[in-house]
Amino acid sequence: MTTTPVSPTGIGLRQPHYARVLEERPSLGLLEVHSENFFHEGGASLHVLERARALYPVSLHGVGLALASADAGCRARAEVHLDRLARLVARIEPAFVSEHLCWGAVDGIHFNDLLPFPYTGEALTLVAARIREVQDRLRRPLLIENLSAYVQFRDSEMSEAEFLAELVCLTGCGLLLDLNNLYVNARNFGFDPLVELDRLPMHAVGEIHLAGHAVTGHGLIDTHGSHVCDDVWSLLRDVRVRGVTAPALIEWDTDLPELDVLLAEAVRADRIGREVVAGLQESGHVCAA
Amino acid sequence: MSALLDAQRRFAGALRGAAGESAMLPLLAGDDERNRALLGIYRGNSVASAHAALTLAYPVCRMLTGDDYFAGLARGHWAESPSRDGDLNRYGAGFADFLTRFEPVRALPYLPDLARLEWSVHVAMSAADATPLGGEAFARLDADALAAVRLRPVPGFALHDSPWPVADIWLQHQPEAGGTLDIDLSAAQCAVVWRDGFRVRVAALDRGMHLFWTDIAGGAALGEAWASASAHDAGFDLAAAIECALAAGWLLALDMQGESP
Repeated sequence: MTTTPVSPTGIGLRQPHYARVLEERPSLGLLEVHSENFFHEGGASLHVLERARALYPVSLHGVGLALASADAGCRARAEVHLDRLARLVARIEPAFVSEHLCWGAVDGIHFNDLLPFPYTGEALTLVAARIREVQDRLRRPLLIENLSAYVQFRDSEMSEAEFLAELVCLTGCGLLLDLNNLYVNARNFGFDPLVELDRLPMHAVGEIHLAGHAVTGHGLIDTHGSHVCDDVWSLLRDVRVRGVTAPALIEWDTDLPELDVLLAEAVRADRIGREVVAGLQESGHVCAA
Repeated sequence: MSALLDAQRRFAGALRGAAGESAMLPLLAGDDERNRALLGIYRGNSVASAHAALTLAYPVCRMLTGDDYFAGLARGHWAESPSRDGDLNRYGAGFADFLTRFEPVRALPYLPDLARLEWSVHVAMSAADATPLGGEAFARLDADALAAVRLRPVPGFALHDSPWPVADIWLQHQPEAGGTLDIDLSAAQCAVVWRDGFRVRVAALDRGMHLFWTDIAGGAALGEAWASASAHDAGFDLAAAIECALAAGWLLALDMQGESP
């Protein structure tokens, strides 16, 4: 009995690791960067990304498109942002292009943050239209990432997972399933992450994010500054058991450690994928391909 | 107004200042006091993003003011002129003007001009890659053609004119600067910024050269720029100016009269 193997894990490529990754070429399935950091006409960092692209599949992960911003003026300005993204996509030919389910700008001010909004029918119409525009422009599906949020809106008519499932139906977009974000929200808002996971269309998951968070007096804060916690590793297992073979990716942004620490996290993610697939094959849960 | 836009405006109000929290709280589920604290975390994130962007663009200003003072300047600038772009790397173009108006900074009077220089360095870092012009481009020009030719500088090329020795201050604060230069803080200085391969360079420029290259960069024909530089500085040496530009790699192209740039 055979099944599709799980895609090899990647890491977020950050400046202090550029030289080692390019020289040592560690075994990784994917490198991910923040798109906006390469919205340049030229220069050293863009050159590094082009060299990385020659060695690995690259994922362009956006933080500035602010898909749910409702202000018409800010949406017009976001067209310039989309132009820059389209140029980068043409230059790098990435494996994935992703963005967050968030808003970020209103009345001319961009907060450069990933801000939550009420999950309403109005918001769904707006975000779906925006995702279609972006996909039409880039001529490829976007992966949309679930958010770590610290506040919830009274007027939400559905959960974030239900909202994302609707977006997948309406636009054909894929999902970037961030398991740390899911876990942080589940802990902060008191829901069962597995219930929310079951509301997401697993077939649409194109990439998985793994990261660490900080535990504070205000709850869990998504810092990308520590090891992936055991509960989040356990969620990765749950997702693999549901048949998701999309690559996982280790995100680490604050207090960035040596490259080896990220590589060890990636090895652990790969091992979980192999163990689950082997277990499923043994128990006969997977159909012959 | 749409409910979504209304919610985002209220959220924005709470991000701009704690006074905006009250209008936002009725929209949020859960306990008000806890939500106030959580909105405070979001408010801190936006300021921290602005601070990170300014830290990247203005490392020498930060060294001169110290980290804590610089963090205060970043907060002040964000309060007055928040980001308007989804690309945070573009934030901070107006930092020098903010510093000019910010009274406490007058103890470091050269800081605004230094910030202007650093912004040029920041812009040059990500300017388009270019292959600079070689000397052979001038060889085919006779005297008339030479007077009429317009020179186009490479992307990222920028000139500065300051009552302070901004190039020296900047150079002294680079990692490779050996020891302490003896900087005369009362000396005015012109400076040039350009990309040399992937590296951004800064150099002091004498006044005649500065005038000449400012005219050239503004689109003047070589003959006009030469005349005005010579009028200011009788010893201005055109051949030396061109040689210097070719050696440093400041020039991208020659546009002949009648050719559209």
